[in-house]
Parts: sequence; C-alpha cells; structure tokens
Amino acid sequence: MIQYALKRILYLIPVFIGVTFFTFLIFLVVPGDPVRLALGQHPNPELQQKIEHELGMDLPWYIRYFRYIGKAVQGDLGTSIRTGEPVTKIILDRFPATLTLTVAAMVFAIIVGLPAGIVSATKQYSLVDNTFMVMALVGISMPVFVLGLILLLIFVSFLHIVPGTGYGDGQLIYMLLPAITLGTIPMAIISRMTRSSLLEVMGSDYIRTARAKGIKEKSVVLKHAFKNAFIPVVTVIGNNFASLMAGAIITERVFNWPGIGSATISAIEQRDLPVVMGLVFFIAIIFVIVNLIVDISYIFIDPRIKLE
Amino acid sequence: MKRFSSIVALFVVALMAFAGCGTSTDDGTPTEQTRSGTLRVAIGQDAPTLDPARVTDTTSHEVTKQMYEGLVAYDKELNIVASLASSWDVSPDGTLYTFHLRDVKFATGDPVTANDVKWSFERVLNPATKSERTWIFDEVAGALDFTAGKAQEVAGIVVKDDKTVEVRLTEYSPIFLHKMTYSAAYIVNRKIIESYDNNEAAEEKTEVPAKEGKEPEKTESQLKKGLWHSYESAGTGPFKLQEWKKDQKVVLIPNDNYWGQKVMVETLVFPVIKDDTIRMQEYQAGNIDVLYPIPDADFERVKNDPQLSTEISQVKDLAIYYIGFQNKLEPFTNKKIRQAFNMAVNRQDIVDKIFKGRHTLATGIIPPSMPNYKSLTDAYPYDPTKAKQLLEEAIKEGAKVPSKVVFAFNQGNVTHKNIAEFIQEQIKGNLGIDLQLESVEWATYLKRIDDGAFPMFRLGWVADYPDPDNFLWVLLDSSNAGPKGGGAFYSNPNFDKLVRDAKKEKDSEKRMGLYAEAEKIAMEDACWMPIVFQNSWTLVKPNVTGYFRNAMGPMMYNTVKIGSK
Repeated sequence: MIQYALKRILYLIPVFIGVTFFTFLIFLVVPGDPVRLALGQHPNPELQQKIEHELGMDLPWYIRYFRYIGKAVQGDLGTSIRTGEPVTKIILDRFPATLTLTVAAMVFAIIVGLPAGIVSATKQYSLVDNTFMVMALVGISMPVFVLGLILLLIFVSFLHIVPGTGYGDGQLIYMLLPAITLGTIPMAIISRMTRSSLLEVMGSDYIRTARAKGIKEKSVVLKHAFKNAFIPVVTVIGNNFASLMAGAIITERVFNWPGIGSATISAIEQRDLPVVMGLVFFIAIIFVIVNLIVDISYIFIDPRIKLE
Repeated sequence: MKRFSSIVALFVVALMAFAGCGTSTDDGTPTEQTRSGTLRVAIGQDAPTLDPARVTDTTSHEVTKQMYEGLVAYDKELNIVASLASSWDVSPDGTLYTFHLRDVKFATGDPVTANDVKWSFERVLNPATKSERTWIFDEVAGALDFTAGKAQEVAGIVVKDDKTVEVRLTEYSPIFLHKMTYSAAYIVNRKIIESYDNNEAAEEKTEVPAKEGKEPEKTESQLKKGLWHSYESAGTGPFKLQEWKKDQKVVLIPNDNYWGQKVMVETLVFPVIKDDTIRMQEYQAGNIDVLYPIPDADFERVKNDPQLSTEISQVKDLAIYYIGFQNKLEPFTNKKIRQAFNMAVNRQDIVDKIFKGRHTLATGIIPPSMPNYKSLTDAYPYDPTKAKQLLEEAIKEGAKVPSKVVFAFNQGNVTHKNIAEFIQEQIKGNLGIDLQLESVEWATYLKRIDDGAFPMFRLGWVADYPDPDNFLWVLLDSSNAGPKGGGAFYSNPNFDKLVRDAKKEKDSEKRMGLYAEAEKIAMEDACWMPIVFQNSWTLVKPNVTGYFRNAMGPMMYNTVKIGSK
C-alpha cells in the first residue's frame, strides 16, 4: 500500500507541470496586462518598464516559466503583483477557511443525504420518497449562487436568524448558510446514490434470506443491506469532497467567505499571475491528495479491493 | 512672505471641539466611556496595501486616511487646509515652502518632528520602498537624484529645527500642495517601520547558527517581510490599526494621542464585501452602516423605496464620462465633423434612459463641482438638422468620411455597450454614417487608445486633485498626446498656450480665468463628445451622523457618531 501511495504521490509531478503550464499558457493568451491594470489609465512609461523588468515580463515566456518552476520546487511561489504578499502566505491564510467550510458542507450533506436516501429506499414510491427525490432533483439543478441568495434573503434579511455574510470571528452561525449552500449538491447526489444502491442490494438473495430468518426489517436494512450499499456512496462522498474543496469559489464569493476560492476570483480579476498560479497549483494538489485518500480508504471498506 | 495664520486653524479646532461636546468631558473630547458603537463601512475589495507610500487605489486611500495625516489636507469644500503642519509660508517666487509642524504625537506616543517629515518623504523616494507615487515629489529639488542613487539625501528637504521643515522646488508648481494631500505624502513613524526592517536584518544575520529547530518562527517573520502595515499602523490620524484580516475586514480603534476632534465610535470596521448584490443586502439587513457607491442596478429601486430614499446622499464627483475623437484620424481631423457628431446625439436621452438620472449632462470638460472655477461653456444642443448641414459643409470642403468608423468601448460593463449602441443608432439616423462597434479588454483597450488606434472611443476621467490642470493639461495639452493622457491627440496652440500660462500663474483667480478660456476653445473645437458629469450615491443609516463625503473621498470618520436605532 505504501508503494501505491508513493506512486500516486509521484503522479503529482506531471500534474504540477501540466497545471502550471496550462495556467501559464492561458494567461499568455488571455488579453490584459497586469502592470497596466495596476498602474491605471496614464502610467509613467518608465515606471511601467521598471516594474515589468522586475517581474521578468520582458523575458521570453519559456524562460519565465522555467524560472517559476525552479523557484516553486524550492517552495517559493512568488509574491503577489498587487499586494506584495508572498503567495505561500496567501494560501496559508486562506486555506483554513476553505477547509472548515468544505468539512461543514460535507457533514451537512452526509447527515441529511444518507438518512433521506435510506428512508426513500425503504419506502419506495411513497410520498416521503417522492418528496425527498424531488428535493434532491431541485438541489442538484439549482445554481449555487441562486440558492445562496435565496438563503441570504430568508435567513438574514427576513428572519434575522443569521447575522450576515463573512467569517465573523469564527462563530459557527456564520458557517451555517454557506455550508448548506455548498453542501446541497453533494447532499442530493448522496441521497440519490444511497437510495439506488440500497434498492439494488435490497433485491439480492441474502436480504431475502435475512428476512426469511425473521430478522427485524430495521436490522435488515441498516446492518445487512446498508453495509454493502455504502461502498458506491463512499466513492461519491470522496469525489465530491475533492471537488467541493476546489469548487467553493462561487459559494465563497456569495457569502463573502475569505477562503481560497474568493482569493482565486480576486486574483483572476486583477490578472495577478503569481497568485493565480499558486492557488491553482495548490487546489490541484489538494484534489489529487484527497482522491488518493479516498482510493486508499476502499481497502478498509471493501476487502475485496486490492491495490495493484 | 505670505503667512497663513494659525488663528484660523485654532478656530477650526475650537469649533470641532464644540461640535462634539454632546458626548464630551470637560475639555470637550470624548473619552472611552462616552464613545459608543461600531461604524461599519463596506468596501468592495480588500485594500491591496495599508502602507501609505504604496497606496494607489481609492479603497486603500479611504482606510489609510483614517490612520495617517499629511502636512496639509482638504476641507469639505476641497480647499487646502492645515493638518500636521499648523501653518506654512511660501516664498514670493513660489518655490520655497516652510512648514511649521503642530505639536502632535504618533499613535505610539512618540512626538512628530521635522526629521519624521524628511524621513517619510525620502522613504517614498527610495526605490526599495517600491512606491508608485514617487512622481508627487518630482518638482522637489534633488528628489530625482536621490531616487537615482546619486545623492544620499534629498537636497530640497531641509530640517530647520524640530518643528520646521523646508521644501524647495525646482520651479513654481500650483499643484504642489494638492500632491501633499496624497497618501504617499503622509507622515509615518520611522520607529515602527524600522523595527520590522531591523528584525529581519538581525534574523538574516543569525541564520547560520540557528540549529535548534526554530524553523516555524523564522518562516513566520520571513512572511511578514515588508508587510509591517499588515500588523501595525504608524501614523497620527484619529484611528489606529487593530487588526487586518485579509479579504475579511480591517478593524480600526481610536488613537488616544490624536490631536484633533476625538473619535466618537468605539470601533471602525471596513468589512470586505465583494459582490454588489450582497453588499446591498447586508446594508438592508442592518449589517453595515455606510454603503458607497450604491450599485447601478439598485439605484432606481433605492430611489423609489420610501425608507431607503431618505438615506441617500449625492456626491458630485470630479468626474466625466466622454466619447473621445482621435483628432488625427479621419474623419475627426475635421472640426465641423466633430461638431456635427456632438449635435447629432441626444445626450439628455442617455442621461434619462440609460443612466436613469444618476449622472448630470456634461456641459463642458470640467465638472461644476470644481472648487473656485466658473465654466464659460455649454453643452452642444441636440440639433440633427444643423449637424447634417455641418457634415455636408465639411464634405464640400474636402473632408473624407470612411464608409465605416470604428467606435470602441471596453468590455465588462453593459452601460458602455448600451451607450455605444444608442450613439451608433443616432449617428446612423441623423448623419447616415455607420459606426462599427468594437469591444476590447481593458488593458489592451487603454494601450490601443494610447497608440491612437481608435477613431472613436469611450473613456472616463476622475480627478486626481481638484484643479482644472488635472483635466485640461493632463488630457488635452498637445505635449501629453498619447500614453500620458491625451487619447484624443488634440492639438491647438492657443489652447496649449493658455494651459501652460496657467501652470505658471500665481494668482488663483487669474489662473482659473485662463483655464475657463482654454476649456471654451476645446469645446468650440469639439475635441470630444462629453456625455455626463458623474455623481456617486451613498447610503447612510439614519442613526449615523457626521458622515461626509466629497469628490476626493470621505472625510475622516472622527466626526461620525452612532445614535440609537
């Protein structure tokens, strides 16, 4: 297993090169000179030249790229063109907020999604099942920003239950709405997956045997059926966790959440290339690592799976 | 020598003390007990920096303004008044300024001396500071040599004694004092800034023997390198920095050593709310007290809302929205064609239908909110018949009109697009000329305007300082054509002469007269098609009093008081 993990970690090298290279390329192609953007309408041409020289923008792109890679492998992701802050500091400052939000969203998705899926499967085609599944459909279909705005309007403006957007001083109440917003899509996916997977298992022979033995229905579902139905659900949870980490961008913007996502948007708007590169690279690493953890966790959940 | 009496300043201070006496102690200044509430002023993006030397944007300026002061400042009517300097003398030739400093302390309690002024100015000029505002000292004798590393100090800044500093200019400049109100001219506490520098220096020296695994500490302070302003403020203003949580909020608390009217709130918070809709929603939910500016999309709703409409206030900005003609490209080399374009577009319709009354029809180049200035111009009337006649005359005289004329605007703003389409329709309808619309990314757009590539383009201009020089000289003097500001490539020797004479004129009234004449010539030449003078709109909660904003931004928030809701 260690060998497998190491191999997967080695995969990070091509991922790193690919991600940085394409981000770099996109910035080369997309119009917008960051120095001009920072200096405004009538910049002093000498000053502009000086800054461009300091940033190495007067060099050919491939030299700039290799310089960047050279520094990055030493842990130096450069400094922000706009604020002068080291990119590593920006990541370290913002990441805890994103991580807490993602975990909270996932907790919400599991706590609501799993029971909803189980109830729907056991009471197939009942009113409860239909209600849950319609809700799940709405949850998957609704764009995150629309859901976020609706929640804000209800809980902040009308009911005054939640104080507002932002991080507050870390109070849990501020996390409530962004976590629900971010967690709704995975919640819907989890509940649908749990339902279908459980329904499939419930039709199998060993469940019929269990029932024939006179085991209580509750025990049949939770003890016998759910254990097997859970494997595909774990895959869904794992995959969604990684994309949540990377995809909290819109939620963070709507709720003013000071995480990696909102920092990425700001950096793109300001064409702050070192920050964008650093953040995209960091998100890619997180994505790969979370997926690796999910893959490894299969061994413990399902002993039939062997990593080769 | 012209001496500004400090009596006026004393009077102002006395008045301010009176104004605050409702919540004051015997000496007229609020104490911690009488301060109440938190003032929350939303900002649409985080401040890129809180180091005054590096401030170039309005958000950073608004925040640093609460913590720092320069030698002079603007009052509500945009007059230059005493700030850290209680008074100043100007030599008859206008090249030697002697500033007399007030007896004040930094927030840390250290006294402000003339040496601090010299150090603060030289710090901006030092290339290591990476300030983009070194040019505000361009006229100061020896400043350029110092920046180029040819001199150890700026020869033109001389400390006469603890409280007196002289600044010598290479030539008279009517805008020198305006530039002294910029963030980059704020006086900073050397002790704080150097303490960060020294720590770093010490740390670098001890890097070799650091064997005992203190890695995390080193990383922490290395990350703070050059970022002292993220952790502390180093000024004399009414507030000081308590904490700056990046992308979340900047929190300021009262500076008890402030010399002027003491702060009346316990805390001043600038929450970062990037999304327009959310900012508006937070204001309505009562989570912020001041919203500036009201998002365009919400303007009509707010104006028609019975409650919100009572909370609006208007700021007449020193800003113009205009359509530029490239005066060196066909067909705009001909004055009659430029005039015809001006008369062929019903600009009042743009004000009413597109801007929904947010802005005011532009009657010239310089906005009416320009202090001490009286314009002699009026807007071109909407007169399609006369416009057509002018066009025909021009063609008879040999002017060439291409079959299609490119009209460019920058991407990302639907208003620009709507205006461009409206003008396209009117020009086609009234003059029969096809305008080819082109939308271009902002940085590329600016570059192409600098190069004179678009015959017709839209631009806006917000004044850097409240003086006509900032419009007429920067945007239209022929020596500035191209990247320095003159995208119109306008050139008229009579105009240039007036504007250049005004730069040398010491009598303020005469100067303004010269500018008014110059503006009249530029309008007669129809160098642009001015569209609107811009206004911005602020929402302030009814329980907040003492908030004031003019064209150069908000005043200091020490006058703001929060009452019960």
